[in-house]
Amino acid sequence: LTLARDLLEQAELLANKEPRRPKQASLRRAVSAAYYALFHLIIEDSANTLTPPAPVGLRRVVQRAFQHGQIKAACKDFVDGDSAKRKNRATSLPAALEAIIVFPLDAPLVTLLTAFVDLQEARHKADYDLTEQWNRVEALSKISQARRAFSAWDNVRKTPNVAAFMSCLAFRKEWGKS
Amino acid sequence: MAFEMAAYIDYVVRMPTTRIPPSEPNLRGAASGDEALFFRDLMEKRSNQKYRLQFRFGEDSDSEPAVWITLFVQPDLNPSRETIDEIDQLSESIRNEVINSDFRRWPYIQVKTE
Repeated sequence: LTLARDLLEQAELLANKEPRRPKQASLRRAVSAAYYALFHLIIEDSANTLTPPAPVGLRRVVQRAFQHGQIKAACKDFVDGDSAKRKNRATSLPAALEAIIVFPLDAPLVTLLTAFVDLQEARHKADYDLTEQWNRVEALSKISQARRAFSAWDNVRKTPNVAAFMSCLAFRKEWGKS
Repeated sequence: MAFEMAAYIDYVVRMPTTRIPPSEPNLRGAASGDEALFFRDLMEKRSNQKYRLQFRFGEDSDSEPAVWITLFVQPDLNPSRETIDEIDQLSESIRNEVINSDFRRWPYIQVKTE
């Protein structure tokens, strides 16, 4: 998971690169790096969990197949499902998936899922939307959010719910969600 | 009588017409009144001397209902770790309140300087 951790470190360096007047390029790339740090953390760990170590290179190929939109949708599904369950409402999760998830979700898992959704949208804004300016406080708060998501992942990555989440990243579409 | 009828027809034909208005556009990402009230109350409750909050409804990059909550802070070129942690905790707490509300609208928190 070196790439993920290096990206997070790079995000921090970029956000603090110019001590007096931070350049928009530095802040935008910092936010983007924070998102990609979390993205790589999730896909690398997921590929390692879902795929055997042999043949060599298989895990890298599986890792390459994960899609940003699919991960975001899975994060939203889990969080919406958790919220619905807390209110005794029906979830929009496929029944087979809902049956194997243990609700309520652990707080660190919710932290991770919401951070991914939030950071992906921030990444879109940082990379494509020039109508708004970034400031250092906002960039650092996004990096801090990514950092908290990293510790949250460390806490829950071996839990059954995360195993279900990882499988959902790969098979969500086939499990009946459009 | 014939004259009166012709005058009447002429009168009716000359009446200004009102066009049928185009149907009300379906505003994507628009919120119900209850939602607007919920968010207005939430912003009032969470705003304080240090942080001012604003919200805007819309759709996110997946075309799903979203709310952008802007947290206005004092400009700070080199914010301390404590400041960032405080903003982070406030953001997380607002985010959780919205997610666990009765509305299906994803909250995105952004931080702007005054």
